[in-house]
Amino acid sequence: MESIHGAAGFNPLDGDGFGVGYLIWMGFVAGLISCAVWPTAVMRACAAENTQVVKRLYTWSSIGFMTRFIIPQLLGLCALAYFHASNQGAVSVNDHDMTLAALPAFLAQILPVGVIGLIGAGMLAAFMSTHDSYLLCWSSVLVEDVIHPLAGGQWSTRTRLFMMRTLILLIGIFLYVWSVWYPMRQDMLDYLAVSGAIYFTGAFAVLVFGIYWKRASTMGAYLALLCGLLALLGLPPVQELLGLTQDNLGFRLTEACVGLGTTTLAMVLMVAGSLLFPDSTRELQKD
Amino acid sequence: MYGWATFWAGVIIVSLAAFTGLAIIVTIGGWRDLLVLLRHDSKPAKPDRKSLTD
Repeated sequence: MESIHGAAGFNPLDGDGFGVGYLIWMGFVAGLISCAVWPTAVMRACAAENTQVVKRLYTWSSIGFMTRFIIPQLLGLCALAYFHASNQGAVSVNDHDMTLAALPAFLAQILPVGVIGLIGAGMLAAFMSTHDSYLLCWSSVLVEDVIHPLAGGQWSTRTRLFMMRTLILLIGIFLYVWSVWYPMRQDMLDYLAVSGAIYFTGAFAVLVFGIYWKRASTMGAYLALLCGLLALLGLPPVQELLGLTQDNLGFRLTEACVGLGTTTLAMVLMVAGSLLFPDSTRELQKD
Repeated sequence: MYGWATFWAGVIIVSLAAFTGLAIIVTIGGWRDLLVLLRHDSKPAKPDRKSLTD
């Protein structure tokens, strides 16, 4: 680690390291968003009996959350050390395709036959269980909260189920096409954070102000959610398309910069939209 | 640098130990609940749900 990254490999605040902005961004994404906005975590809180149970739930599950970050990072460190030693130091940590393939290649080389099959089956099972939950979640959200209300809300259960199944198929096709042909060109964790930020930056502002500010309005919420689209600027292909490259700007538009900027702007728009376009008295009475 | 390396090693060891301990406790607790559930299922006349929630 020392010979590849130097002091920055250990100290995140080192000049060549992640930097304060990235640490704040990751603290926000992995610390706050993953427990307050991420649907699966929020579902646990919503299903709890009372706030005391929620507090206990988060206290104990923090150990699991910590470990699920630690284990892949530890395995990644092991893969780096392994390939660095076996290739006499000729390892490129800036090649994103290579770093993505490092962990499975490392496991394939060190694990004996049988164990590697078990690990592969476990990973496939985890992959499938994650995807079936997400497919069901997003197709039901799209049907129940978007398509069905827009269509007048008169559909039978059978029609809604048919729509959900159709959407599961279409989302599955989209996932396949996107995962095979999208040129990522950035670290997986950064990609996940940025693509998630399209949703959660606006959702965070809506949740915070919707719960703690009485004057929050529907227009403010719409503006904050739309603002989340700016998080797309954290994806390298979008940056290249819009000419926001390091050569043109003179600096690199980092994921942390885009994410934190979008979050701040979403909150500003939530407040501005609520003050400029307050909900009418009729809407408030309806609520 | 060695201070940071020691710190990260400590974080990794403590979190893995805590997770392993938690996994053992949850597994034992789960098995106990399952055994109680199976025992009650074999006597459907007087199900005692209280012991499951305690």
